[in-house]
Amino acid sequence: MKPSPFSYHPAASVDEAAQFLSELEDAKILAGGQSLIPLMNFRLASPTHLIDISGLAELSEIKVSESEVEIGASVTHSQVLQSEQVGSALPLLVEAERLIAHEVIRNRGTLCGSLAHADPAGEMTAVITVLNGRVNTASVSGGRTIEAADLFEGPLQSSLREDELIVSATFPKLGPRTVSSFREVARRHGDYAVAGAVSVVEYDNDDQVHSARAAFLSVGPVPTLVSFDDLLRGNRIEDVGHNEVYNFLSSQLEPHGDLQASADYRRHLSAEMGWASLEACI
Amino acid sequence: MTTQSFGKAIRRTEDDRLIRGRGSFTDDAGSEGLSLTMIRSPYANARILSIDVSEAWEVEGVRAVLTYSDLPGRLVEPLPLLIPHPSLVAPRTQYILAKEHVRYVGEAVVAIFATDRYVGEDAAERVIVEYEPRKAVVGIDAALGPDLVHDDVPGNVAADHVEHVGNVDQALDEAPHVLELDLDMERSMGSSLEGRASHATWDRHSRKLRIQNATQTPTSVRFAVANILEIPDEQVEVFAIDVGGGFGTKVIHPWPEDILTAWGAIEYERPVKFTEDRVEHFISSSHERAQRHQIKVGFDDEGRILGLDVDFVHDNGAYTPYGMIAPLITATQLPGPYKLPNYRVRFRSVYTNTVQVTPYRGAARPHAVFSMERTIDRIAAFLEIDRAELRRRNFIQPDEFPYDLGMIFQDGRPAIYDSGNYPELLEKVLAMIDWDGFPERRSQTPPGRRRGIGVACYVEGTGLGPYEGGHVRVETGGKVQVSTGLASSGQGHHTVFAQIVSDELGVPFEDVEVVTGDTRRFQYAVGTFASRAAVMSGNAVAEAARLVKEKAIQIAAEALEANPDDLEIVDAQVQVKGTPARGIPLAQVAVLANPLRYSFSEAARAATQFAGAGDLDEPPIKPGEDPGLEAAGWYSPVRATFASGAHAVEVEVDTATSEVEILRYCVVHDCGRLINPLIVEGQIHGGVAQGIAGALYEKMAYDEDGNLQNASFMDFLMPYCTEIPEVEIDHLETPSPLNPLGIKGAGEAGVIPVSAVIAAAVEDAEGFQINHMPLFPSELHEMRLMNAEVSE
Repeated sequence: MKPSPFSYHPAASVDEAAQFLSELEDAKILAGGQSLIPLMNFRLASPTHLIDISGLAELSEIKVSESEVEIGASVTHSQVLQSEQVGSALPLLVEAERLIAHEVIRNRGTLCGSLAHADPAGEMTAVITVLNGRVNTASVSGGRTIEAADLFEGPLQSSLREDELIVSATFPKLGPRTVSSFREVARRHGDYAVAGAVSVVEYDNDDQVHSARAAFLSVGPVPTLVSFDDLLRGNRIEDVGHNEVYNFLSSQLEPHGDLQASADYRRHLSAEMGWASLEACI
Repeated sequence: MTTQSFGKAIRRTEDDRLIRGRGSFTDDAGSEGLSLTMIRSPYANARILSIDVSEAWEVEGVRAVLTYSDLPGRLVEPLPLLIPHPSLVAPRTQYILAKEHVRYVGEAVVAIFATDRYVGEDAAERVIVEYEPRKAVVGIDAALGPDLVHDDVPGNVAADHVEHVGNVDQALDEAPHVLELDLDMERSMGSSLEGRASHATWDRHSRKLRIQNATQTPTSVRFAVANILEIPDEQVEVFAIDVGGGFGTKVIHPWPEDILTAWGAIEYERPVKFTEDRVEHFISSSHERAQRHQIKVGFDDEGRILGLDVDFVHDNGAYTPYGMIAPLITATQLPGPYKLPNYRVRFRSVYTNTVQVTPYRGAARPHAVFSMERTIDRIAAFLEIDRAELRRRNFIQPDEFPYDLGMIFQDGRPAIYDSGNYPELLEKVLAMIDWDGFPERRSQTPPGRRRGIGVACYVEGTGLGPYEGGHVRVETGGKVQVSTGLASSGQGHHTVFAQIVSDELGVPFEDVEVVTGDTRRFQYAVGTFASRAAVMSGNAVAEAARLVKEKAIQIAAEALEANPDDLEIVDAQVQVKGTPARGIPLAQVAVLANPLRYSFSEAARAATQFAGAGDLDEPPIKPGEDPGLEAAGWYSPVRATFASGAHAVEVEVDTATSEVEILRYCVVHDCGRLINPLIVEGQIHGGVAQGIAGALYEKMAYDEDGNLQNASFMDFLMPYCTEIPEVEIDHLETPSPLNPLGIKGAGEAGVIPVSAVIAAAVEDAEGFQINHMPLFPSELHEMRLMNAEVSE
């Protein structure tokens, strides 16, 4: 469990990081290292070069505007969790952060790093999906914006180009009549969830559902977004009830089985979590 | 008066050091030498066709790359069979490096000596081993099938053993009721925080091989290394300063890496270190607990057991270095606290292409208790009798000790329970959990939850021989040095042995310093396992302290011109009873105990030849006496002493997620006289945690090709402290009549009945039978669906 030899390049700026990425063969960005380093220790990843962006002040900002929250690429999970600004602007981010791993991992791991890692079991991949957020990138050929819907291509596969790094992630704030909730089940506290759902429900002026959607963890190669609009629009969640939501979700989700959960159990649990997260939005 | 410390909840003296990161573990030993890296088999069952190491030699920093054909002398032999037994018909142990054939994923094939582990792993990537894979034998079904693990072991049967008392066939024939059960448990492992480790240094000047080893058995590692390397025992020193948990795995020795580090240190004249990493711990140390039991029980209308017939299969993995001890323990401990006038047990221990199986904390008792307690619960359900009441009707009673099971225990001696009070244990735990109030609590279960309760009892043979020793020496500075040969891997030996010596000798606890597991200090020992350290070394150091006390009183009597019978030792002073003014400090007695020609201090002058002490017609050391205020003491019991306990648990199971939540976990434990309640409770907490791990979280997920799919803490779900509930503990103290201190072992107790009691509680909550452990939410969910179908 020791990594192969690699060269370490602390970047002095985003521009330099982008320069390294374009020039060095087989290079990886290192931010918190909480996923990459274990993969390297198992020699499942053996990058020749690591470009460290963790010390970059220009990536360490949390910006809250009237409509959005933007998290820089070196901001750790703990910093997001402890940010009062984020807590009042977008409580869902803080709720999700509480479910991510353990304190020691959150102290190093970064929010943007977990998006770049593109693990469909990761809480942040589901949050950015359900909020229709986006990431902002840099490269020697210029930056771009990638919408959440276009970011994840498969397990541990994002649509980032090899010469491109995430510099920040942007999450739209929720409207005044909109409620969100995250529910998941993990085998142990802080583990990747066996199943989980994050729901966003927008109510109309009569307190009926105007629109509702949920993103599911661990049920497919990428975060799975399900719309409840046909089922719930113009209704109250409690009037539709557990059974109808459960049956609807069971028909929508096609999860895989693994060591912790058979496919059937995971489908069941995902549907239960879908209902639980909706119910929490009532 | 010296404050009595035996029985007090004294905080562990080792913790300050350990908590501050000042422990001295094997990996902390020097890093200037060579590092040993092993290449391990990726196949569970394969012939080795060729090994090409040439490219690995080219890597900078590589000192040597070895395969089996490079091994010299006795290193070519299979590793020793540690415990032979007449029923162990086909024992097999592995080679230091695989010879022609690999039999589990993780078996050592190539050894690389390099400047550090990074270089070693780089070199390992360049070794090309060509294998011819064969069908892997994985799991008990496969072991009973046609494919073989060892070509010369028909049926994969390593051992086939039967024991019986009474006439089971007749009892079952005549019993008014007979039930049959199929019960099984899966594998887990000890998962010590520190893995296996060895650091060997060859001092060519003094011709000493110094080995720091993360072992529970330093003296035996010493003999094994000396024997295999064909050097005198005297040249080998083994010490285990701090060991980060063992749980049985570190009883096993010598590991291939123990021998290779020792041999390499001499061969290359450089220190060699091996530190096992976590993956290696999963795939190349030891596992335990996979067993399948078929049970037939006959009983009367009152629920009294008339006959019990048990036939079980034990999966011993690819090799049997520890013989058939684990299944033998199941066989002899299965009766627990119950009277079984007619009992027959047969087991077969079978080979599979998986990591070897050796005792892990609890050592095959969790299966025994699971089997017996599930049987009792099933009878209770059949007769519709309260489960606690059914236990009462079958208990061995307090006036029936010593109680002879009529079987031979794992120490080769009769299994005779020395003492205990099982009815009181049960009543205490029932009161603690409020068993009778459960129906009321159940009626208030919140929606979406199902509530259940369970109770389980056990008896554990502890403190078995053959012997341990201890040495006590009073230094002229007043410190009392204690050493014992068995090692400490977190048990608190430094604290409890100091408590015992402090009381026996009459010195303050703070003045006693304990060293364990260092063959330079104490050469004779067996080891730390089978909940034996406190019983064995505890009684041995007590004996040593008593001998030192006698000697101190003799010497002081001369100096004080008093009758020895009138003297006592209080607060490290030998004095006339009740008269502190007529006394002499123990430190000074230590000076007098060693007649000197040369003084080294003011105090030492008193012992020099012109000081005027002593009878000039007698030699300074009289015949039969030794210099120094010191003595060795020994304890060798006629047989094991039997601890016991009862656990009760109340659980809630979530109807949506099938997760099991433990609401209350209660333990009543009887390990005889308590030396230190704080330490006993810590042992119980840790044991219960490992029990819950084995009941609800852990298993070894082998695929059919023999790959361990969850060889990391990400996928092997060892619970965190967040998963472990508060454990409520009460004690019963039934002294053992077998040893002077009246103590019984406590190290393994916590883990033993946990699977049984949780199965009982979940069964009570769900209303269908639980016959298989561990119990994961996914499986419980499937069971619910199946049972719903059946009842429709």
